[in-house]
Amino acid sequence: MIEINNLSKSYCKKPALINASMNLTPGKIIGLLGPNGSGKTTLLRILTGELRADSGNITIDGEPLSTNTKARISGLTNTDFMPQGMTIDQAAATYDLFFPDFDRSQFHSLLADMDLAESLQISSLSKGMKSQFALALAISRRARLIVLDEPLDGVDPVAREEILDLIAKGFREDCTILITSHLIHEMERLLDEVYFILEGEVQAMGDVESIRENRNISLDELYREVYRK
Amino acid sequence: MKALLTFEYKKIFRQNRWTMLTLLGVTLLFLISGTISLNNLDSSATRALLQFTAFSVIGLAAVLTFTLFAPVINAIQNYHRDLNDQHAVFETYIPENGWKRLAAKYITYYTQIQAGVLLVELAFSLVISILITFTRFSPQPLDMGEFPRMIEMVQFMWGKDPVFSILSLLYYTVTLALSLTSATLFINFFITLHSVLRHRLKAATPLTFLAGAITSIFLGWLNEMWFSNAGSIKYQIVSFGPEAIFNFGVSAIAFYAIGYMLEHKTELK
Amino acid sequence: MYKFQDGIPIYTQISGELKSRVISGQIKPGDKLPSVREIAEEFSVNPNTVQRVFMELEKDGFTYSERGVGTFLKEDGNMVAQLQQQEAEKIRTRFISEAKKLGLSLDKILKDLANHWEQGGTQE
Repeated sequence: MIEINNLSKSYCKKPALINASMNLTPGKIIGLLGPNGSGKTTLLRILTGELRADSGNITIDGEPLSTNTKARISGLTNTDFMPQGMTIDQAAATYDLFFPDFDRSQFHSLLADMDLAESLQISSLSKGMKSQFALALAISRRARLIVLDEPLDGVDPVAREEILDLIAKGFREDCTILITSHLIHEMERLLDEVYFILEGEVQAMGDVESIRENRNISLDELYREVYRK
Repeated sequence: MKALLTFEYKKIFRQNRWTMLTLLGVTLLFLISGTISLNNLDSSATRALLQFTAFSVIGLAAVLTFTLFAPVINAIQNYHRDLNDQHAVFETYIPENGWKRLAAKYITYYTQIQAGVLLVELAFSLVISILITFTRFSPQPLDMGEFPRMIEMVQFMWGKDPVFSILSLLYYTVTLALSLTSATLFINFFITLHSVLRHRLKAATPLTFLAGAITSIFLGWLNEMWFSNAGSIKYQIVSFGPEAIFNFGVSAIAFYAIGYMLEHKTELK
Repeated sequence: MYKFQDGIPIYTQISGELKSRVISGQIKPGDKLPSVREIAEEFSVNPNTVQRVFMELEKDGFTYSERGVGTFLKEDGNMVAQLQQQEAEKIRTRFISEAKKLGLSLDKILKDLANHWEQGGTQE
């Protein structure tokens, strides 16, 4: 269980996150949905350690976020995050090196499904391929929390389907997958629970199927409803 | 730790292998051309031969200076990239604490700097010995204001106990490399400070520069105050006395502070 | 990728799709259903959603599960007929309400249907 309590962060006095709270339970795919600039990336980057919160706290299985907890969190906040000049193989080897929970054989099979040769240079991949490869790396870790920031961003519609499939493949009972996206409609089918975010403020919306059942609308429409001025 | 070291070494090697090979090749080239020209140099030397000699000597001096300082610049550049580039993101994912990560980086930086110093000193001693033994010039007291001890050390080699001279050589090589490394530590401290302040203060960049400038002036002043200035700064670098201890102390504090910032305070762009 | 309708729970739609497969004979009584994961991958949905489908199917008495082996469609001869009936009722209800909205009389509809039964319907 990952608890995020009253997390706040500002950039040079400009607030990006305001008292954000979330509860992330294992075995669920959770969406944090909102427009660009609403603070989703900020929240995720605090989870991965790229940024530090100004106030509030995060605990993972009761333990506050620290260097040690990084071993239990697998992130994908930037597609081009590996050092320059590596091949896919070398990237996998690096993951092997640092993360004991990395499942090399799963990574192999995911890559085989994508028809990507492991000897390829990462820099030679197309944007869609890069996103898929990066996702495969993140997903192949047996982590408690997998954090995916806009995994569909900049990817063509065909590759998008493949990425959604990939995320579904990464599902595990003891893991939470937290995804942010502004492409609400495409993400809907994957999500168990959803949180909306606008201008740094997070709202829990609950179980997605219940929303469909009780309100008979899509998440897309619900978002518009909630945030209509 | 082993994982971090492998990672850092691979990073440097991937970047620098061509530069290193080129440097080696160019150094050898200039050494050979220098030897040839100096061998043939006498009172009846033609203008062309004199120019060729000058070319070799200057070329060699340029390459050696580059070899000495390039690893230092490289260490600073690499560190800056590690906090600001795209791949900085991956480094934040690594579940190792700030001090360990810093130590791994500094071991690799030191190795590079040491290799550079070693190469320069070897080339330099080679040049001196060529000058002394093979040329028809008598060993003039060349004006080497920058590195007086290096001349002494070469004289040792040809005069005294070889073991002693080799040990002294080693000692000077190591202390020079360590001093250069600690200089990078000083600069990297401020690079780290910048990534702590970047999201908190609008004027983070100019402020860090200012802080850096003020600190270096302050440290220089402390140096002036406490340690009698026996000769040039370079002289102080290659000796072992209270100044060295002071430098070591400052470096140790800087190392700890940087590690602390990496662990708890730094943020990416 | 399977296109879902807005505003209706996904598990309901997957359930419906599986039921049509039973009606059409793609899945026969006694057959083993694909695993939760396989179905999740096929429809590109969350496995929890598929889990819910399976639970509902079992609750409604269409399937049973064997631990460690999988979920099976019950050997019920009536099942196909039952499902067909359920679907037919849904279509009928929808048809009648739409037709009534248009204000058509039963007579006219019956004549219309009789005339167009052979060639009518959408191309599959």
